[in-house]
Amino acid sequence: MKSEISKGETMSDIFDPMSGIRVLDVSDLKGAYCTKVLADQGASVVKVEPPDGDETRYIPPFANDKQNLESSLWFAHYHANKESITLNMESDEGTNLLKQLVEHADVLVESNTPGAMDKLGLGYKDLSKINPSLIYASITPFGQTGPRKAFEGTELTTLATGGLTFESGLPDHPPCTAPAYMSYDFAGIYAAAGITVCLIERGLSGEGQHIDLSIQEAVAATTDIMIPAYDNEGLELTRNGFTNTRLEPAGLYKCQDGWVCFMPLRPTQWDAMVEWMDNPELLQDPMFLDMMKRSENSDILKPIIQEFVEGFKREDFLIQAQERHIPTTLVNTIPDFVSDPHVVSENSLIKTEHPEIGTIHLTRPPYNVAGKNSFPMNPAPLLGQHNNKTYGELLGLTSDQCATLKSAGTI
Amino acid sequence: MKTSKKKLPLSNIRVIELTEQGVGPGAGKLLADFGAESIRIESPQRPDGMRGPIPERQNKSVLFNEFNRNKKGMALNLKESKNQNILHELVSISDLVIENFSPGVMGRLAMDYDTISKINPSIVMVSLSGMGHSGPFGKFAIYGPNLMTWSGLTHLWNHPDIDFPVGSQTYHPDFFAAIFGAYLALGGLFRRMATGHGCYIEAPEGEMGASSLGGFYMQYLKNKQEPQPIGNKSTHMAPHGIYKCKGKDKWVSIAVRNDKDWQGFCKAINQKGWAKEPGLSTASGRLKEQNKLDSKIQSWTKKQSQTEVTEILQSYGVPAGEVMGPKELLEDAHTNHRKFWTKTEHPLMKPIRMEGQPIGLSRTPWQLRLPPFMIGEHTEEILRDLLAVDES
Repeated sequence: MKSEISKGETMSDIFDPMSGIRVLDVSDLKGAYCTKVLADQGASVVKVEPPDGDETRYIPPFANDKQNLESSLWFAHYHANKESITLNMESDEGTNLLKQLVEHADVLVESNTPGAMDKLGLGYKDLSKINPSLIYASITPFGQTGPRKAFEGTELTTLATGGLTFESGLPDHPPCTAPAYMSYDFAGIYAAAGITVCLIERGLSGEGQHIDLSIQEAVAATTDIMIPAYDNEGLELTRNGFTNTRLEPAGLYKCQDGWVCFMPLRPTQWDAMVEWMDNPELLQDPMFLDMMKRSENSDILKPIIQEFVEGFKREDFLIQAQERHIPTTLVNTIPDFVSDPHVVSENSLIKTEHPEIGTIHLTRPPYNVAGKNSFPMNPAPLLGQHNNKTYGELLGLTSDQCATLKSAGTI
Repeated sequence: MKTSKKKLPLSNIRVIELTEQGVGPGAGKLLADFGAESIRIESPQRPDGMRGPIPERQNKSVLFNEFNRNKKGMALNLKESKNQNILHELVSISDLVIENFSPGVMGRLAMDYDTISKINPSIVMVSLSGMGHSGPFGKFAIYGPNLMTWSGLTHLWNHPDIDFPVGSQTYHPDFFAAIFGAYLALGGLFRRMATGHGCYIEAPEGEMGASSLGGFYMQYLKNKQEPQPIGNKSTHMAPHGIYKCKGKDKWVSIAVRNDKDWQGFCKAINQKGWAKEPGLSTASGRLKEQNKLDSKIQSWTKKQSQTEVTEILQSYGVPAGEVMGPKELLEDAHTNHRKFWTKTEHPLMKPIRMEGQPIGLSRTPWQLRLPPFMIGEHTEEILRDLLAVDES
């Protein structure tokens, strides 16, 4: 199956509801996932970077451990399918250029401290006067209003203030933050959904809106039952390793050659496990009668299940558990994942050629339309790669004019 | 329940939810929050497992309520052909079908895309499942936590000194997939405004989660380096971590992003000597010394509350934030100022606070219109008012 974009093949062969939508992305890493999912669905996303490049270009690891502005692998991941222009938004000429670009945009995504864009004359109030149908999405650690709106944040602190870190890890260890950029990705998918709601609404009203996305709130909305359980019964869901106490003894177990995630939660799944273990006492003992009792007595159950599981090689265990419809997966390391048979069969990682760093693999857009699950992915742009194209097509600037602006430090 | 007169952006959209548990209903909830008329179909013999197994408590489930505000509920036994006809009639006057049953179930209910698109060519349908409908693991039985172990997330979500996988008890793949599912549904509806055509989107939740780990997969494939768990540390920032504060199990997160933050940080914690040390003036220097720095920082934070540390550091422009639990979140002045906690009234339960809607829209904000529905609560109303069916 072809996986690289070629002449004539366009994103519109796939699922491209955002085709024809132009997005100006002046955000940093906090807005990256939002504009990534828009770009993956056909939006024309122009990343507006400071002349020194977006902060993500400086984040390791770098391809072949050689750091330069084009080699950050997280940049390559987040900014595939986007274009890049440079712009110094702190200068008067720069803000002027942005205002002109806004006339041609449907969406603007930003992540500056609340108030900063207003100071530059680029707030929602200002830009909606220029383009009343503009959808202006602000993604920040604590949102546009409230006593903490101007607080600084990073992935570590936004995940913590959202409540996810509190419930993560082991009771006798400090809480453990998540790898990668979970809180930013949560905020990003919420923002993308919000932008689409606004696009639908704009189709009826003709007007844009300001989207206020607090990363803290996006995280808090993912903390499962933690908040309402506390409000309802005063229950504080503290750290308990992989499995919530009420779901034990489901969880992680060791096979001969690695770990599996084994979740026989429903009565039919539990009964299937008991039959498989050929241990009728488990079925008859009132201590293990239902989910609640099994959770109360999980300290007795876990070693029994562990002893059963460790007799298996994990791929055998996986197949036999799934034959019995018991939710089970392997605990994959990263090398395990890239060679996982499902990943290979479903093109989960798409090979792409990047002009500077060569062959890379990008996660595919996670959906199938009309039976297609392979999507052409364009590599992330070089810094300012589309200056001439964008300033030329949208503002009528010649490449000489662009060169002048570049030496003046405006772009 | 107070409702505003403001028109909601999705008030012209009717959604049929053939969903259960978290992901499907979570996707429907986002659309319902913005005004879609969302109708969930439940089996009267086997209501949503999220309600729990005890019949007397099935209309009083906090977990169910978490995912099902602003919706209507019909109880229909879909094994009866007359009810399949009713469902088909509903399809003919609806815009979107969301489902997250096991692959194959919709076919058995005569609600697969081939069938319903013949009834209504402009219907948009979104199928959400753990591993998708195809591939060696398509049709696998899957819960949210299974997907975290499959993608490699669980392996990486750990302190480096622990030699067994831990991860987190969160069900967040389900929550992430719910919003992604809503995004896909909204995209289908938006596309239909231009083309008039519906479409069928089938989305595996596992791959949604994997799309957050792209840098790690590339690190292995490109650099032949295996990413390892690093706990609360950073590969490129120091100091960076979670530190114990005054009180039982109270922690604060601190991240010094750059040299400018470092100068502010040294002032904030009264370590003027550090600010002058050339060995600490760069990130690489601080990374080398981070264990020493961390123990000094730890002895500073443990004398103060998590909020004191947060506020002091923030006053110097340094990112810091409490590791908040449910108590801290519900009492938090900031989220309360923003009215984020929504008290959901319910005919059979005391009002319970839940998260509101993170998407804040300036002109057409979300509204709380309906409490979580009881089993079959709106069956009669829908049969009578929408479908003009005689309930006998």
